[in-house]
Amino acid sequence: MSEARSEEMTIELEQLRAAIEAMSKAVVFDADPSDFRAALLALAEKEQP
Amino acid sequence: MIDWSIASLTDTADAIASGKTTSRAVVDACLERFDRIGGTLGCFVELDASAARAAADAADQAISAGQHIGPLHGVPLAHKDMYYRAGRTSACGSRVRSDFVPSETATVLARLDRAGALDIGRLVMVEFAMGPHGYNQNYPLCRNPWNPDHIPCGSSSGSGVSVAARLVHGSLGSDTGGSIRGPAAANGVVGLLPTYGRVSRHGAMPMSFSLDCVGPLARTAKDCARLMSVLAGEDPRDASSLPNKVPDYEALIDAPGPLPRIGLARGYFDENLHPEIAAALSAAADAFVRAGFEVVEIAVPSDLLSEIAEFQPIVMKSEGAANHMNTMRERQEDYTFEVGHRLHAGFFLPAAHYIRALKLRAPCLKHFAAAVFSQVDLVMTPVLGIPVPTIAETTGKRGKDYLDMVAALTRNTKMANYLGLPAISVPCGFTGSGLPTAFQLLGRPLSEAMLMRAAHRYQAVTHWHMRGPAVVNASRDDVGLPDVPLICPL
Repeated sequence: MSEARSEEMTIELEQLRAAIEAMSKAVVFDADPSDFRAALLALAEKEQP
Repeated sequence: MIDWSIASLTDTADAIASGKTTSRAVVDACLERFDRIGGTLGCFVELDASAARAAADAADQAISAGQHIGPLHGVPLAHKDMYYRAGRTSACGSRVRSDFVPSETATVLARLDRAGALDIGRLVMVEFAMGPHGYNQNYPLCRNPWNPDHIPCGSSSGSGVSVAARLVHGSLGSDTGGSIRGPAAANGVVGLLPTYGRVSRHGAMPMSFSLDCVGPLARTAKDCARLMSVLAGEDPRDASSLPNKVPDYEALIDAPGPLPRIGLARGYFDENLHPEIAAALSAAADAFVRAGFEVVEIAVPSDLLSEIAEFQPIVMKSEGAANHMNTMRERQEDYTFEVGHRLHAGFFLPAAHYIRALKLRAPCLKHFAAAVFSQVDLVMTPVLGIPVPTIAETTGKRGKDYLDMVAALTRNTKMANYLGLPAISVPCGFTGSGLPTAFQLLGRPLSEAMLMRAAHRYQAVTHWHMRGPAVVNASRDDVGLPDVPLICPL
């Protein structure tokens, strides 16, 4: 990796570190990624305007 | 005499269908404009004028022969260079794919073909759709038609520019964190992010399969409604596509009945909001009231939205890195500097964090919906919180300040992708620098009809969508910028 890319990567990784920290507070033991589609459909607009 | 080449998509399609004009006349006018200003704007990768004229002639002959015609018959469109058409190169803005010729056609292109639309060329995009500024080092600069010293935003940069400059009547963009809504806002056109799964992504370049959405950019909400009626619907070739029936969006935008309640977002979206954009948003809220809507202020869950803004890049970068793992190893030198390190960062994300980000989507969606959609039907926010930056501020820059500014361009848009919610970007004025600004309406899943109906009603009492950039009528000499090749091949 070039020196310039390494410098930019450091900033990118710092942004991701902050993102991971933000996420680490959440409790997700019982959640399943596929719940998302079910939630999307459950919350869907039912009636046309 | 009406110049149908600068009219809206729906008006032009109806004029062609009724014989008020011909597809050939419209295409000729668009190509003439492209010859004048295409070299300044740098928005096309490929445009085959002969093929476009031949397709227009065929469309006109079909009308003369009394054949059945679709709702987009003879209307010139062009799309972001990431929608596959069998036998045609789809470079995705990259050297890595500069010789990629797909063997099948994207579902969305096939649906547009069946509706009679003309696909006249491939449009410039940010490399692999990974950047909100619109800059792609592989091409000459793609410029904002309202002021060529400013960026068009991206990643659907060519789509926003070509529609705003009246080179085509509509375009497909893609949106993983704001790539339809950002360019729509920056170029003064309407852009719709559909609900996740509402429009098939089969045959579209993947960026982040959990977030990617395909949607239209056009002049008006009504144009988007006609395009969405063609594009939306289940596709057995896209497992993420939703099975729900597709309504007649265009009929619904004029339907009578109670209007949705709009919540003007307070918190998160108005933090550090530029005062000129805040004023435009306030005026837009007043226009909604004039149009008969109830508009209330609503406190959005700022902490949740701040977290979502952090989670979205984890998903996007993890999935992006997975897509590019082989080519990043084998052809790293073929990636541009900026996209290269952005993708590279994804390799440092542990799988456990990526999966946590996916697990959190449903709880976040439920939390947001409970906080917001229990009070209002639609949430109104700015699209860009800052005026459209200049090319000098963004091009070839590095460092934290630059990356923070890039992140700011998607600050108000990326949560919709993470939550899978539909959103529409609608022009609502200009900032002091003469560049367009826009508001965004967010709705419940599958509320596209409501979003477009509200935007249509707004456009019925305002005039921003009828304004065009001066460059549309400029001569080559008027433009006063170096002429770059009209087409931007890799």
